[in-house]
Amino acid sequence: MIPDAARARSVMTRGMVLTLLGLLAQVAMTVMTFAFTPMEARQGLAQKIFYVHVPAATMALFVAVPATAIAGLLYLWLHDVRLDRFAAASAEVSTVFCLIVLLTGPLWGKPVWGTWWTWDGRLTLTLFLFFLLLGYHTLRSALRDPSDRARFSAVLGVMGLVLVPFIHMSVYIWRGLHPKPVVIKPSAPSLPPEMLRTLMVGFAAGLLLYLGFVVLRYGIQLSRDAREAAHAG
Amino acid sequence: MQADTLAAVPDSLTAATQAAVPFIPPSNAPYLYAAFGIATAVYLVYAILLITQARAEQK
Repeated sequence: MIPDAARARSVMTRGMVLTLLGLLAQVAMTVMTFAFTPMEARQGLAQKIFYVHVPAATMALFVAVPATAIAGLLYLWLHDVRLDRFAAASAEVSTVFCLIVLLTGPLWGKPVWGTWWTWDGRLTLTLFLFFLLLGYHTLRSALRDPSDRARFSAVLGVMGLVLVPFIHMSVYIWRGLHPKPVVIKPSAPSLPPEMLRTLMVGFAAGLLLYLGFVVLRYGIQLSRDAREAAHAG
Repeated sequence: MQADTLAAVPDSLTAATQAAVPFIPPSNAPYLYAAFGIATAVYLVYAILLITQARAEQK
């Protein structure tokens, strides 16, 4: 399919609207965290880092990385360039979420555990995922042939998904320090409703930001492809 | 290693009440502000970067 500049402009506009909505939801979550959510009894104020850390981790592990992998798998099957464009956009946003997880986690660990970092299974595997995503972008920028770039990066994207169940189950498999999930687990959430409400707004903000960022990045790439196709034509 | 010497936190969260409690949570607000500041900055910088690129493409 030949990329269309008008369609790219429309996609980018939608991406901007979603991104702005995501940022507004993020502001709402921040206000709720500071003004309307109770302090946790044992951990104090540092526990509230949870509302920015957990949504970023959830978006990376359960939305962005799986979407990258599924788009990659579908590309390997269908060879549709739109799938590669989407996978690249989703991988970039996964890296942003992963970076936030790795930056905010130690800021909780220092006051609660007494250390910035420990080689706990959850932390170590998340760091591996971040490195894998950096490898994904390095690979894409190193390959000039679009077909090779799409094929090889699709395989690497699927490798990222392989890490996800190990990251999620790491707190059950290995004896570590990282707390077990309080929401994404078979039993009912083990936190008060007012905390759950703020977390849900955090999830909504994360999802809107994911969609906004991916649609924007997709539109930018579509516009570049349209320009290249126009020059080639 | 470190994991053997550090105490794990409980797997459930409990809201602090107004009533007097024997344990006073540590004053760790700077870590909270730093975490929110960093996360907001990352989101904002990335959003501005993408919107700037998109605006340039739209021209």
